[in-house]
Amino acid sequence: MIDERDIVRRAAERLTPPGPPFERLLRRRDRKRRNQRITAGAVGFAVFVAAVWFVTTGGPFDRAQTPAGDGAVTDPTEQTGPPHPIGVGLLGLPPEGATPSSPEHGQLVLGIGFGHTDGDAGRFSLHLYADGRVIWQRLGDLPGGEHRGSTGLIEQRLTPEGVDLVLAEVLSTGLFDHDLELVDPLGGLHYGGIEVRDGDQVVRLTWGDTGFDKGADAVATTPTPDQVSALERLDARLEDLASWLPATAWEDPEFRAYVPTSYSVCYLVEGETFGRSRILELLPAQAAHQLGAMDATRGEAVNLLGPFSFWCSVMTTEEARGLVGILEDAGPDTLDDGGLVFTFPAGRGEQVHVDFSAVLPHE
Amino acid sequence: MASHVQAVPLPNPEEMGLTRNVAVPFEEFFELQHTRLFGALAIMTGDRSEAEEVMQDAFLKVWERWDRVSAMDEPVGFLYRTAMNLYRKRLRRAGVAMRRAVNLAPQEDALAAVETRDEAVRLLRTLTPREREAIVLTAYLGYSTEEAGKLLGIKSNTVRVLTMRARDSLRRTVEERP
Repeated sequence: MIDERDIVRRAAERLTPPGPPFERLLRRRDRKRRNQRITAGAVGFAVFVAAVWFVTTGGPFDRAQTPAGDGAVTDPTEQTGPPHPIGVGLLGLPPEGATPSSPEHGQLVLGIGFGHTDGDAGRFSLHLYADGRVIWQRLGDLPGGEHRGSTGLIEQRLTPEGVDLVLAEVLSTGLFDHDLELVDPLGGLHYGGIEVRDGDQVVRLTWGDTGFDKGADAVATTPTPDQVSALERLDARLEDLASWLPATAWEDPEFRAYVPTSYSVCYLVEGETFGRSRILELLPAQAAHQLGAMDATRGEAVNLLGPFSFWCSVMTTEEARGLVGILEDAGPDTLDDGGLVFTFPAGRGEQVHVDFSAVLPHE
Repeated sequence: MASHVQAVPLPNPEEMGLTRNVAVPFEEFFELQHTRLFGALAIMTGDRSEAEEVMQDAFLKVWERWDRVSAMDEPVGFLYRTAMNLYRKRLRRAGVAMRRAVNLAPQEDALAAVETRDEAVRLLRTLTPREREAIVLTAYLGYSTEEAGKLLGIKSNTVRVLTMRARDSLRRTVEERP
């Protein structure tokens, strides 16, 4: 006879929180308050700018001058602190007729991801392209409230000089002579990765537990305090380019929604490693038919429910729109952090998710 | 829903150091409750960091409303309901952000990484995440299957099935031990 209560109690007693717990709670509270203060300023400013823009341009009906999001445009040079434009980036599909980012494809010269917590919730990612496009988003405790845990993908444009300045800033840390994997202790860093093009060479730096491809010849090393400081400084600089780049570095500093040409549609059952046909059987027949007729690639990942496999197909925005129409008729959709997701019951308490993600220019 | 929150029974209020309708300072409430909540969340998420973040956010929400929450019949019930809502929300986020999280998200299961020498932890690792959720809520936190189902967003029958599967799995694992 087993006593599951005793087993769970004993396990829970072994899993103690990091300390000192109340001091850590106070620090989190303070961080949230800082975010809320920034929000108040950012939202007020965004509303003001949106109002001015509406009056001066004719509002969202003037497509020639309309950003692809819901119309709010903010000027990062007018703000203090890292900018978090609310309501600019798309979380779902773009409105019909929105102009996709151009050109469709681009060469990635810098890709970064900074995890600001040990989990996935506090993440900042940025992609810089040779053509000057900067596409970024922030996940987590955003100014603006809990209803929106992501900025959505934001696009700005740098001049060639701006691209060079950003790359120089990254390379000047001295961390990119070769692939490098930084391991504990990491100070205030959590996890992340940077991939930078230096001439013909692409160099990768990772830190913390990322699961990221660390590079074939990555050297695992414990970072020095100077290296940790350099990374923290770089994080702050890259999250707030407007605070240090000169005006000449910007071709277009306005925050605009990144409008993709295509979407990657992935489907999975949380916590399960189901095959493709098994997952498709759980979807509405029309959706399964559309997805089943497309090429799909398989991936594996881990989230809070454990390892799972997923299948992804790339489709045009219009194909994605058609699929959304089918799914909307059949199940609830959610606009959440990363975009648009539909969830259907999959029996035994499991759920199948269909997730729409914008394809970036280098993907 | 608020009535449900207040109707959630405390597993053992006295054991947990909380007497009904006696307002205590928030810090004292935190000290009394955080270890138990963290343990439950750590088993459910399999991730200490996620568990700490959910726990902190739940306590912060309670703190913001402490005047009202401390006057409730069951402030601990409110805390756990808040924590479970946050936990479910983070699961949704993990699914939604899945694609871009693939490359840059921690992949380690804390239960796999730490305390593997502990028999109880090792036994719980044999359960699926869903089974862990069900057994933590019912066997550890003392919720009924109906209440656990509401907290997890699934049917009470499913909770029963998951709990039975978990119990069977634990029994088999114990019996198969050399």
